[in-house]
Formats: sequence, C-alpha cells, structure tokens
Amino acid sequence: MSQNVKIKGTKSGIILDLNPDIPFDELRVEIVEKFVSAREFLGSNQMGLTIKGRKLSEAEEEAVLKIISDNSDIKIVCIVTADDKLDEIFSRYISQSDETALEKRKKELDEKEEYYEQMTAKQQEELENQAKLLKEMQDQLGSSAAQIYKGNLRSGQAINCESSVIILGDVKPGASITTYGSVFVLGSLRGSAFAGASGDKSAFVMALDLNPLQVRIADSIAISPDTEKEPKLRLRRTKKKVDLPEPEVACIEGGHIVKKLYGRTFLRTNAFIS
Amino acid sequence: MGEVIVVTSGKGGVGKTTTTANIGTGLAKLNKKVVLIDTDIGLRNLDVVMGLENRIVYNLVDVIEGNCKVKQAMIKDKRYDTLFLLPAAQTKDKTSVTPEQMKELADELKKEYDYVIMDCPAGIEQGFKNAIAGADRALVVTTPEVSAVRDADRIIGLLEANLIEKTHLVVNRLRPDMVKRGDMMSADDVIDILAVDLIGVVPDDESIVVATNNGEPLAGDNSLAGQAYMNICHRIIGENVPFLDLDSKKGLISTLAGVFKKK
Repeated sequence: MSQNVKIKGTKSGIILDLNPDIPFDELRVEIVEKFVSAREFLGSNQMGLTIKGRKLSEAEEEAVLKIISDNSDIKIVCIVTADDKLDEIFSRYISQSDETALEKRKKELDEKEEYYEQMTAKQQEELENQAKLLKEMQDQLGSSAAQIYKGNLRSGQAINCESSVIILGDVKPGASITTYGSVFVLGSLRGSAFAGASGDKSAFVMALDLNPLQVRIADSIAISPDTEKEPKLRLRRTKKKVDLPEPEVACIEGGHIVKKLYGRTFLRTNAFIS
Repeated sequence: MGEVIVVTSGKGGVGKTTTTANIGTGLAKLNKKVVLIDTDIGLRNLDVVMGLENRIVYNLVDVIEGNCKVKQAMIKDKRYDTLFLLPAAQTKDKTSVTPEQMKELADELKKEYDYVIMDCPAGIEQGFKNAIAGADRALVVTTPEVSAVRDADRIIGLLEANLIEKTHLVVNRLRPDMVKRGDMMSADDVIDILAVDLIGVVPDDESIVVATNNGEPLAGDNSLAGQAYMNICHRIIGENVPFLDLDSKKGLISTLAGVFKKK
C-alpha cells in the first residue's frame, strides 16, 4: 500500500501526515483504513491532533475528525495545523550554512515576527488558545503519569524519560536514572539519580534504602561521602545489629540537596503537594 | 610536551587498572602532572579503584561527542592536586569512540600534562585500538602464568605493528616463595619468553586488594607492592633504580625499625 496517510504518535497526541497530491476522497478511504487497523494500538485516550503535509479546508477537517471518532476510540480534544510556511523558513536557513548562527537566529526572529504580524488578530488568539490547551494537557500528563519499571537496574543501564519514574527493584552502582519529574525507588538506590532534569526544583528522589553515589535535582548536585574508614580493631560483641534501612527522600531545601526520613514529619510538610 | 603511556595486557584480570591507578598516584607523588584516562567504555573500573566513583558527572564519551569541555570531565584526585581522572562512560560501548578521536584527545592533553596514562580494556578489539592510538610508550602487564604471558606476547606483536617502539614489561603478582620452589615462572623466565625490557616486578600482596577495595592506591607506602610501583614510576621518569629484593624476609627488628622510620 502506498504511504498516502501516515500516523505518528507523540507524547501528547498524534500526527497525521497526508499526501497533498491526491484527491481528498481517495485520501478519505485510506484514512479510514489506517484508523481501523490502528484502533487497538491507539486505545481510548484524549489526544491532540496535528495535520501535516496537506492544507485542509474546514469541511475536510471535520470529515477527518468524524472518521477518527467513528473508527477509533480516541477523543480528539484539539487540532493543530502544522505550519508549512514556518517549516519552509527553517529549512531555508538550515541550507544556508555560511552565515553565523547568531546572524541566522536574528534573521529568523525577524522573519518570524513579520510572519506573526501578518496574521490576523483572530488567528493569533486561536493559536494562543491552542498552545494554552496543549500546555494544560501536558501539565496534567506530567504530574499524573509515571513510568513504572519492573526489575533491577544494573550497572550500565539507564532510564531517561520525561515523566516521573517508579522502579520496582534495586538501582545498582553504575546505573542511572534521568527524569524531568521525580524518582521513586521501591528497593535500594545505589547508583545515580537525576530528578527534575528540566530545572524543576520541587522534584525529589525517594528510595526505601537511599544510598546513592550521586543525586542531582535541577541544577544542584550531591555526592556520597567518601568511604569512612572503620576502626580496624572492633570487638565482635560490641558490634551493633545493623539497622534496617528506612525509606528516605532527597529533596532541595534552602538551595541544597538534603536527605530526610520519609516519615510522618516529612509527610506533614506536604512537600509532595508543592 | 608530555608522554602518552598505555597500560595494556591482552588478558583480563592481570592488574592493568590497579597498575594504572598506582603508577598515576606514584607519578603525582613525584610532582608530575598526570591524567589517567579510562578507555574501558561500558566496563569502567578505574574510578572505583581511585575512589572517585561518586564524583563523575561527565565522561570520555561526553568529551569526544563535544557535550562538555575536557576540563569539565576531569576529576581531581582526593589526595594529589596534580592527578586527574577522565572516566569512561558506563552506558555506552567501545564503538562510541574511534582511534582517531582518541589520538586527537591524547595529543591535546599531552601539551598540558607530563603524563597521559591510558587504562586499556582487555582484548584486542576496538577498545584496545582506541587506547593505543595516541600512545608514545606502552606498559605491558602480565602475571607469571602461561596464559597471561601468551596474551602479552600477542599484544607486544600488535604494539610493534602499530609502531609503538617503547614497550616495557611489568610482571605482576609474583610470588617469590613459589618461584623458589620452582612452581612459578620467575621474572627472568618471562623476559626470556617475551624479549622486552622489564620495568618492574610487583609481588603478590594482600595490601593491594585492601587498597583497591578502599579506593586508595598505595604507590609509595610501606608495603612491598607500594614500593614496587613507586620504583616503576622512578624508572618511567628516567631514573635508574635497582630492583627490589622481593625475597628478603623481614625480621621482627627490621620491621619495627621500618615502622619508626616511616614517620
């Protein structure tokens, strides 16, 4: 089958890439086929829809929406039309590599400004609304969604993601987790963890046994203390029973990363809510 | 202009990383400006042996890919201000770096440092090629076992093929008592087989294991192995030092005298 219709998924929605060269009626049939076959895969989430490659009239857009609602379980909450003109400007500047980046950026901004000036006030308002909606959706997703990883994270393995992460297992030395959100390790954390990688200072790292090599939150960094030497002579009898590790949280307080017991006192501060 | 030294062996587990850490520490003790580069991408260990594991932010691959400056990735040693470590990446593999890039990096670093020491991974594949790319001199580490000696022989051949002329041998983990009994090859036997110059013999020593586990190289301390490593450092900077007499069993009195002389 030719690729007149392509569906791509993004974090907050789907992109519909349409062939601009065939009549809309033909395209319609293929869109139906695509969504029928992808019904299972797409599930029943709320999503944003981006239409790319082809300029659709309002009537055509409506038709596409109808097809989607008839043939799949997803709910489209907004439509963004991909901007060919902006794309064109970008690609033009990419091809002109002899200019310095600074000059380029300046020119780019000028052109963009020009372009936005050309738009009517109504269009601008519409765009702003769409952006706001998308942002809201992303915020919702960001705070509510967390990835769950089952199993141990061993040396050399790394998790990079934008949502918070829950690890059902241990994180060994040499393994690393990087996320825009927070990190929860339901096991021991001995590797390194980077929470709030996009600059979120309220992110934190929690583990049942918090003993990491390194913790980074936003732009702060904390390293484990260098191995303290234990006294060589120690009578067996005086050896204390090793305390069971208690759940702890590392978070930013007063500009520094601090480690706190994850207990009633911590919960009472409502740190999770901020 | 500094010198780039690669520490290699072919066989794994003969003590490349331990040797790198100790020689680096020893040279820093002799007031040389030293940078250690771990080229064992994906299986890094030098940071643990140096006890600098918790300080790693950027690594070799970040430097090569241009994610950070070389200075940013360098970790200063806990004890010596002139000793630096450039750690390997743990989440990548050997193919993330090419020999040309390593040579470029080594050439850049040796302008500023007296010694650039590369810790080579085991094997003769990409990692080995990366490590030897910019090397002016090689230290081949071997233990007095047939398997390690055979691998060392292969490595020396490859080093010659890559036009690294200065190749020296470190015989590691020698046990004088076993040599005496005739159960182990002596350093001389090993040299006879490999036909390269010896730069040091390091005895099998429990304190090495302890030091490695604590992340504190022992070059230059009172232990026999520490002294052996220090002697290698002296020879690297061109001094002529006699080989240690590994056989001497210290009596109680001389041991005590040694303890008092220390401070």
